[in-house]
Amino acid sequence: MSQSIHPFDWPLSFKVPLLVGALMVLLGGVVSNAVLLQLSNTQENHIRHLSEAYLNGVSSAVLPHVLRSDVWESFDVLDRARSQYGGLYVKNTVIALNDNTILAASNPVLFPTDNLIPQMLNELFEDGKVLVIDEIKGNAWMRQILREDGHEIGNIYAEVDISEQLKIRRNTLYTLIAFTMAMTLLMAGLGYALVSRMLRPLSVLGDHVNAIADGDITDIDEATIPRRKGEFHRLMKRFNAMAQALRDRETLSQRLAEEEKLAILGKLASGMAHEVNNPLGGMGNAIDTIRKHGDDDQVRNRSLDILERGLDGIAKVTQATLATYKGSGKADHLTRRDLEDIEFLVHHKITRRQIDLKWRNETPSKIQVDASVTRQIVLNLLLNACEASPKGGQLHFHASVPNDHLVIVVEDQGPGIPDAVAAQLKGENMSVLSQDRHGLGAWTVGTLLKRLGGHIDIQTQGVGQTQGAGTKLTVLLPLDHEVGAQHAIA
Amino acid sequence: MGNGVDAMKPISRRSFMVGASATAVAGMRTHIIIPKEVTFGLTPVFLDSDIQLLSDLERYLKEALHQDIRLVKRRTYQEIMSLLLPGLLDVAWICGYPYVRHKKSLSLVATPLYQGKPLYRAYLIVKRDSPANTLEDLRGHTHAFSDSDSNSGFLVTRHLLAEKNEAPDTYFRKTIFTLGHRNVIRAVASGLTDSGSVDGYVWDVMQETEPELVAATRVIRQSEPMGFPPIACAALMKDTAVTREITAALMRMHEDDLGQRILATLRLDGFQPSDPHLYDGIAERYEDIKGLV
Repeated sequence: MSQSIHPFDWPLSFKVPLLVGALMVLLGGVVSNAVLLQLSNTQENHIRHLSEAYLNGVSSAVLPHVLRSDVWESFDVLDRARSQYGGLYVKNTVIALNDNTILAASNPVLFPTDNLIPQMLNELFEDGKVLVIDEIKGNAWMRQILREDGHEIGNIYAEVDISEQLKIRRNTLYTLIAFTMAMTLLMAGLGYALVSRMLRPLSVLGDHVNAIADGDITDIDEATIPRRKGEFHRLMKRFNAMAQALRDRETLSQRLAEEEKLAILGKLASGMAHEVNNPLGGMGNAIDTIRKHGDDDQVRNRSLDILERGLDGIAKVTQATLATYKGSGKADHLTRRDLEDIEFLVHHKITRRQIDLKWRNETPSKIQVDASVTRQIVLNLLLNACEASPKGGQLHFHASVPNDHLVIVVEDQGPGIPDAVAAQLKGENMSVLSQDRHGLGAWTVGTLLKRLGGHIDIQTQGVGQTQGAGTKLTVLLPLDHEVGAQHAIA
Repeated sequence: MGNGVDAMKPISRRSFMVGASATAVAGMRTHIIIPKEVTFGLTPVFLDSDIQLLSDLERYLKEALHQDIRLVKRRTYQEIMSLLLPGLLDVAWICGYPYVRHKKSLSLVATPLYQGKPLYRAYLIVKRDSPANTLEDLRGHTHAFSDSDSNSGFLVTRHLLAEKNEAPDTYFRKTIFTLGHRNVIRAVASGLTDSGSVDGYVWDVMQETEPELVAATRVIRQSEPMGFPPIACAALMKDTAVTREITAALMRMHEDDLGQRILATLRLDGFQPSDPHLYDGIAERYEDIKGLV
């Protein structure tokens, strides 16, 4: 199984705990946010209420003094009030008159009497706010308008230290983060354990399916199949049934390939009979001639030549057939002569269809590929090309070894190859046998090519035309230097 | 009421209160009925913020006089004077300045002894880190006075300025009245004002009782010794039994445990009969500025 880093390819047993963890983080985030928001609102209300209580108390105490612009009494109220409001640490209180001059402040050094209030205070409350919280400085400013008989006579500003509240909020945040992290880890761990356990049968199934892709069809061990008749039990049983069916099919396919070989043999048998029969007539005549005119040396020698050539021809046919269909045995290297034999084997078909065969065999005497399998591939391709070629058409055959490959090119003027057949030649979609009449041949070539690690390139033009531009098949077979020293697979 | 019965003051507590209020408001005397308690007026000249001290003083006088005693506190000297002058208070601890202003209407009962003498000084104070070192340096400052009827908290500084042909409102950028010597120290210590006029005795004692607050201030000028704020009564009550008993109780204070505790708290050595000449210096200052005030 190839390793991929794409998240879609991660195993479920990893993805699900990750997802649980992510959801926990999300949930933790949402809950933390809600809690902090609620805490923040509560604290703000708390600060507001305390500040309001403080300002209300101070306002009512200070009002008569503000009316008289009494600096000392106003200061005295602020100075005393500062230490009288538990739960609220008031850092500064400033009383300003309507013209924004300071009447008194709890800290007269920071806010001197008769000075204008700092611009900062004007800006803080310019949009009519009552409470302004500055979390960075850890303080809150609050304003209350001082009114007497409905008339505004000034403002009272209070700066409250809220660093304690912010500290509580920070601590709450850290606690929430710690809790969420702990819960996330716990949930992710639990999720991993549970999901791994739940998905164990699935990974067994996955391993077996992957093994099929690598050509190994094995049943799932009965001990591994869950005893409880749940979905995994049914799935594994069905898998085993499917694996059995696949094995049957494989056997059948192999048998079909054998039968294809025999079918070709059958086809060749008639051609062979023809090839054998042709010289037989001449040879019979030669024998008669020898009987009658055997005394004449010239006549006898000519007749014997005819007999010899006839016998040679028959020997060639039988040798080629034997070489091609000798079945299992030691894998032997291909020879230039083997390819020439194939030309001889298809000769009768070429002749019958009046095909103009342009044969170019530029191979060396020994070629390090499996002779038997290569011959079957080439013969198949040539026979099919003959079938496809129009009467009187041209058929090119070219064999060469340009580098580490045996390159065989078969080019006909036939109508082209259907896509399904082409796919099978390339070794694709091998589980389905094409219904085409060339289907079995193509399947066989595809299988054999795969076995030799070869490759086929198909250039087809004008599929379906009777007199098309033809098809060019280029087969590349890698040279295997160990061929001739090991047992053949076929 | 025991020995304290006086035909001149036959007032009940209730009618006393009504009368006191009415007098305070209308400034007129009501018919006097026999009082059931002795009234002792206090001004901010004295460390009147010490609750324990007030309680001790009340208990001491009660035991000494064998009579109920009520300490009467008011925010300003003026309020106390308005009760004392018509005899609505038996005695009051006042300042030398109101005494010299109302000398004819008042009679001295006793004068405290501070550091063995019936004397004290007036201080000019600034914030500890202030660059000012003389009165001249205070020009254009903000300044805190105690009470316009206080000698050390107003008259002394007012007189110094008068010597320079200056007045507080022009010499200082801004002046405030804090109605208490402790408040003057608070105003200067907090930075509310740049300087202040304060009772030197109060400043000295607060150095021990509230060292942090006092440490934020610094004395830049001390006046010459002046008569310590006295205990006085209305002239018309000079020889009443109550006055005599109160005088005796004050004179004996240092002989009694509770009395000693009170004196220790006040950092006083005791009381002595008052000599009106003690206040001549204050009277001179008053005479000097009388036309200006």
